[in-house]
Amino acid sequence: MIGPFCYRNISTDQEFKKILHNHNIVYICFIILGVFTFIFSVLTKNYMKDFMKGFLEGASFGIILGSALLLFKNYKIINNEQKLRESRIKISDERNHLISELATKFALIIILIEVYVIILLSVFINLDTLKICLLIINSFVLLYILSFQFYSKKF
Amino acid sequence: MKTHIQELRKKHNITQIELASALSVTRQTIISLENGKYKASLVLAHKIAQFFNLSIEDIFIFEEDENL
Repeated sequence: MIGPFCYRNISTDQEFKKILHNHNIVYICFIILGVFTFIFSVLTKNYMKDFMKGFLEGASFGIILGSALLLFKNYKIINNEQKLRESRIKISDERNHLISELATKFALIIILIEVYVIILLSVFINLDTLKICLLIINSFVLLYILSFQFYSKKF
Repeated sequence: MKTHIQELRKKHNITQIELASALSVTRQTIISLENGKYKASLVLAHKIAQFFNLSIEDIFIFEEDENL
């Protein structure tokens, strides 16, 4: 699975190596973020509910472990020319891009429907949830309009 | 979109993996092109045409609504 962050037009292995090195910097930042999240959860444990403490600890652990695994995977790819080439082809393959775009579009539509259902239910349960959901919908519409304008001018 | 890619590939005794490697795409993309499930971009179509030393029209079969 490539995900929505695949790249187009990576023509050489050297170019791809640079991209992987940049990814490694991002993963290291995520590990630091995970550590800070854990420290934050420890320092504020007396001020929050048990559920939140557990959630933050779990999130920090997940971020650290996930980033460490991706870092290790990248290290193996960078140091193996064959794997580097295969990975570059996979990530820049145009059919994979199309599949990724269609999957992202489908997932987004379903999420918007879910948010709308939550809005309908939140009228009976909690009005704060309604406000948060409306914020999500409004953010999506605004970001879509702005990015559409941006890409219209770019292409 | 239907293509002659599979026939050309077999005629030149090339495997799907070899063709994919030459075009810098995945083997799955070659499979989808041969099955007519995926429509190649202009750049990929051009690369395929160059690989087989033919024109794009010789490789890709355009339906009626894809012509003027």
